[in-house]
Amino acid sequence: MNNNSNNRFSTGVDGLDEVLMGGLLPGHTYLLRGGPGTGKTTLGLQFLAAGVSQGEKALYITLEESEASLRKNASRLGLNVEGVEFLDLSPDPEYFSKVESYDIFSPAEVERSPATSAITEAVERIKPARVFIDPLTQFRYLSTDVFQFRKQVLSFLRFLSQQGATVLFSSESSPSLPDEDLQFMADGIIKLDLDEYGRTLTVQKHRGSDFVAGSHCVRLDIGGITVYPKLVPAAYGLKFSPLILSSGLPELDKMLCGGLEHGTVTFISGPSGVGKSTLGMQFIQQAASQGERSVLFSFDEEVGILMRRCESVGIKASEMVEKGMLKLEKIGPLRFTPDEFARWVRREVEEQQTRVVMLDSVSGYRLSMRGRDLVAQLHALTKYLQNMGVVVLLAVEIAHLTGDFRVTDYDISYLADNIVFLRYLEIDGQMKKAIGVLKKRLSDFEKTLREFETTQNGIQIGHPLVNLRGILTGTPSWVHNQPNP
Amino acid sequence: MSSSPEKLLIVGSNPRNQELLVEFVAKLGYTTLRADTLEMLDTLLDDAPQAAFALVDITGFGNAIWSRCARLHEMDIPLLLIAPRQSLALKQLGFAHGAQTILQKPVGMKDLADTIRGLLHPKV
Repeated sequence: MNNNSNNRFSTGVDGLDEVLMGGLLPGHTYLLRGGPGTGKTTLGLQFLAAGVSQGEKALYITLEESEASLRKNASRLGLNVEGVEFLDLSPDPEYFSKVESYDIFSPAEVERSPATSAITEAVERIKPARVFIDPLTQFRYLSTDVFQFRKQVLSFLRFLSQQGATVLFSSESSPSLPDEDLQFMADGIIKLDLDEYGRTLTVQKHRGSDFVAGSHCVRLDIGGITVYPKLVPAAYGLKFSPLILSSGLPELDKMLCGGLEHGTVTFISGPSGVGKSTLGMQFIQQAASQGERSVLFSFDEEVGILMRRCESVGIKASEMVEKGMLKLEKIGPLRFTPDEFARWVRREVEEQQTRVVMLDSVSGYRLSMRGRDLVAQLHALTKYLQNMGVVVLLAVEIAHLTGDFRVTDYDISYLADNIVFLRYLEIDGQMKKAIGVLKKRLSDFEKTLREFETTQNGIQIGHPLVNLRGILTGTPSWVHNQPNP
Repeated sequence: MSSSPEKLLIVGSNPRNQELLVEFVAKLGYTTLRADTLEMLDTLLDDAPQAAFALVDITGFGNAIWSRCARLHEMDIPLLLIAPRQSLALKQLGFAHGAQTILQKPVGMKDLADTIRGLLHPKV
């Protein structure tokens, strides 16, 4: 038996082993539930193919789809089922006329015995480590009553387990023929669903093991099924490290009492075009100068335009990308679910040692992601990044250019450890920009606004604008009789 | 008691049913004579077969089957009839022509096995 280090069987499905805390337990039986088109057969094929790739013997018992059709579909998905043994108990084309021609016994009694003999013979001959039965519920029609079905299935599953097999079996349930009885018999239950928001997988039972609860996003495409485990921030956590990321701008560092701490979430709030992305890139540039890698996910702006804008204000984005210190990713609309996106972010952090992550912008994230509970999903993602000691920058767009002071148009302020805001101001008939800090959880901060300007030489931050009044009203006014220091 | 297996006469008009019955009876340890038409049955009966038992599926033979049932009864061959449906009239006709037992389709395999054994080896 060829298992992984913690004596589990890999499912062969990327992400599912993580949900199952390492994989399936050897010798156990697992029920795979789901409606038509949810991917049960594909998952079963991947389960068997994974076994074959590890030198195990694998048996596919099909009661519905023919072996030829299954092999063809596996080939289309790019799955290698060369070494998988098939026991094809699906009806052949002659079955229709045969069934019509007898009525002396019930089909249950006529068909069951040959099926049972064929399975017994195949299992004893092949001695498979993995068996997939698709769908086991077909046996319901080979039983004369519910009691017989339950007894036969229990006996069958025990027979397979005794032969040393780990068994996955699918069910086709409907309101008139539910599969609750099978749920009690199985050691584990994996449920696949498909609705308007996409595909999901839920583990409902895993006897003898823990599992990641909840509904996990599933993608089914060439290569088979991929599961994107729901992010559980509490499962991750690094020791708190008091590292601070400087902005590289002495005035801004002074406002922030040194900079932004690792493991904190910073909102860069402001109206459109005020310079949120540029300010974020300023921190990213400083991180790169210290050898720390960053990723910026742009939901609104094309990467080329963003890079050009950075270069025009003296931020060397291309150089950072070339040196591998920065990755800029454009996220197209409705391309990912939050779970898929979170897995991508996780890989950047855990495999690429990314230390700064910027989402540009929160409203872009909300519009681009498919699925439900997007605020909760964003919360989980930022919490995870915090726990991993990453500097998180969230560009938060305000709908109105001026007027009522608001940090965000969404109810997400509670996510922020730090809030840096950018605003348009009118001073003596001229439009200016100002920067301020509204919140800093881990240190003190400067309470005044400063002028904020983006020039071809970079970001310029002026002295504190002590003559401003009514900042939090959203329409500050300038008091002339108090000179700036 | 003879050491050779007992012989059952299987009568029916549906070849697939006949195959299944022959297989089933063989698994119980009996040999069979098979008649798929009335003509085949007549020929077999003319030879005075040593059948311990006749299992007749009356479906598809029409009323002509009753005279053959009566003939089997006259030859002291115990008769088990299989009827296509629940019908009091069929039952009355069957018993009137010598049937000892009448089963209705689909027949449960265990029921049939028990009935055959019961008819061949009645407990006293």
